[in-house]
Amino acid sequence: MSDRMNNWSVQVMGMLAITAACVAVFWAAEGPEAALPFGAVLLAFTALVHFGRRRSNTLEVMSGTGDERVRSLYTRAVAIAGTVMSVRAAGLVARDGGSGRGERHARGAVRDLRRDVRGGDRGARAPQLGALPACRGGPGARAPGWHQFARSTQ
Amino acid sequence: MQNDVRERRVARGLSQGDLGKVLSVSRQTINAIETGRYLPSLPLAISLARYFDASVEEMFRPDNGEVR
Repeated sequence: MSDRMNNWSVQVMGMLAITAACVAVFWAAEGPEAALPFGAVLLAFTALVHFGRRRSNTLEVMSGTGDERVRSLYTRAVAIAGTVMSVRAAGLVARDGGSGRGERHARGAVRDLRRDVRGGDRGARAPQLGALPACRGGPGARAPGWHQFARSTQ
Repeated sequence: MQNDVRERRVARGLSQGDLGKVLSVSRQTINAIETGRYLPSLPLAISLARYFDASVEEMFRPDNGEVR
């Protein structure tokens, strides 16, 4: 990491830029009722990391600023997070292939998972966990949402 | 990797925080180096060695089989 990136103001500006971009995407996709709470959460996270970095080693590593040990831990953490995100993104792309549901990429992992649990219908009641095929085990046990992928590839 | 940073620091009557200030690193980093949880970068190892008037090889000694 360059010395310039090891500056807290650069890191905060980067987080604010990411927040603005995410809010813009959510605003365009779903409107202000989804974008503003999401932006508030990101702003709160930015403030937590910035003001908590002197009190907590974990937050200091998450801030990405500090001496060489902190920066090396930050690099490792980013590599791990990037790996997880890329696996998750690959899963979303595979499941969305041909289904014409591209908006699911922007909605993120948590909302996507919630939609899976609700059986793909936004307004449907969430079923009991035991009612999900993946929770019952046996030959039909697959990840929630598998049937959508199977349909899209037929 | 073995090192004698702690012994040299204590011999000079310095705290981990004092040594960290001199070398522009945190107290936690000095602690991690002393306990072997973190291997310093070459510039920091050289800074440590210079501060204690020693060579890097004198301060940091590899375990058996660690260096080919």
